[in-house]
Amino acid sequence: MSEAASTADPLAAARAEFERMLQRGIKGLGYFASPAPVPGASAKDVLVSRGTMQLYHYRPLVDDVYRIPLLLVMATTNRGYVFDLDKGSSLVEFLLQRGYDVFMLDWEAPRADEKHLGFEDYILDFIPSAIARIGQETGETQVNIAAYCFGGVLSLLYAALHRDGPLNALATFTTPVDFSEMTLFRSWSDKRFFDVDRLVDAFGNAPPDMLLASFDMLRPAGRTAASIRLADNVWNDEFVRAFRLMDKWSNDMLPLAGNYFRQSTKQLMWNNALMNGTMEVGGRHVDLANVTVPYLHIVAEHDHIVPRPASAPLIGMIGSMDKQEIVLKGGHVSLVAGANAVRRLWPQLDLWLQERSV
Amino acid sequence: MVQRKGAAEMTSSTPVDPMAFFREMLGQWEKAVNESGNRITGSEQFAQLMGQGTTVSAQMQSAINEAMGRALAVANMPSKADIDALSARIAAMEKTLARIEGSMAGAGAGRSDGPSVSRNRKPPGKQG
Repeated sequence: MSEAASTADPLAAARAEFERMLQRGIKGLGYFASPAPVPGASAKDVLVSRGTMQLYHYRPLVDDVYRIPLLLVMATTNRGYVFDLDKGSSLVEFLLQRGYDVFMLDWEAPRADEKHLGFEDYILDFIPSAIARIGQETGETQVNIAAYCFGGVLSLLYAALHRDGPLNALATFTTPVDFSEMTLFRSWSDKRFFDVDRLVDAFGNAPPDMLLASFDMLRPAGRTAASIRLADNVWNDEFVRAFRLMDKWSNDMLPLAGNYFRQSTKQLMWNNALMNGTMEVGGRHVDLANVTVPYLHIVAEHDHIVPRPASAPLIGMIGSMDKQEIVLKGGHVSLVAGANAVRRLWPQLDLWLQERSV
Repeated sequence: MVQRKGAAEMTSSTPVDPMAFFREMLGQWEKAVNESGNRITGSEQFAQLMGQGTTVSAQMQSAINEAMGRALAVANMPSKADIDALSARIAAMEKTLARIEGSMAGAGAGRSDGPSVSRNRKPPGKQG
């Protein structure tokens, strides 16, 4: 029965709702009995697997790709498969179909002996190593980067410290710069009450359970409401599959390397160093005005993790002549994955990148 | 008159969804709980409580680490620190291996087995 018919006739609508109720019962049982879908839509080769650092090369889907390869840089708190969840809802698949040669810098959980890793390892070792490996793989001397959330912060710091490097263009999504505006995170990590040194000394790496609880506390009703919506839509196979994939991803949080967590807390949360111009990486001062490559920042209008005021000053701090900020409807995650992203962010990214990939 | 007729038609074709009210209420409830929850968790008292909780769990973890270390030493078993040291040595070997692979890749040996592609693509508007 069509939706139009069901909404025009109350009896038909009631019948449709009754059928859905039956389906909810039948499929609800199937939900608990069936295994969770496996994320990942695109074939890839693992080029580098070095501790927490993982570099993938996705196999091209066209015979002729853009000259400049594209590196996706994932946030360090979550897994990169949010960019490649499922056929038809994969940013990677979309980019491959549009003719990009796509690589991804993803993260495994840092091992206990990697607790010493800090900003300097991510920015002065992992990203440059990944770019060098991409150069070897493609024979190209330039690379474009698209980075998500804190992956964006790392990429910006990299770009600021490698002015003459191989970076050709940079796009970041939902990237914070004014950490004083991340009010809840800032309150929870208040230096009067939060002893980050003691935490890191005791645990080594920052436990993912603690991080997940913090993210959940941003939206206390989020999980309950999501479960009710799932029950309401359990008749819809497509909804259930997308929900399970996204639910798996959002629960699949990574621990943060101890020193990296300590540095993030002290430099960014406590001192707001990026905003105040006091940021240092490996003893080198970082000035975002040194980012001079073409730059695109895409932000979400209803981002509960990186609120708009936390990302708004970024575009003005970048030194590039060719820079643009786009505010799209959506939230922190729905900006990059799901139906909203397919309609909004992906085409915008493609439009901006294609001119800068030749 | 025409306008009145149009309005009547619109009324008769207004979507009837028995679950719409419930969904609307769910959205309102979620918003209200999130807002009031954020007011509570954003308070100084909550931050203080959270900080105390973190300190207690860190102290417990340190105590457990210490006790486990002593117990493993008595049983002549490697401690977590010993395993971490071994892991660090493996990591160093991985790094060296990656460097060797990287230098070999310069001669083409490091390329993956993916399909070879040409790199001449142009944006849709500029294709000749």
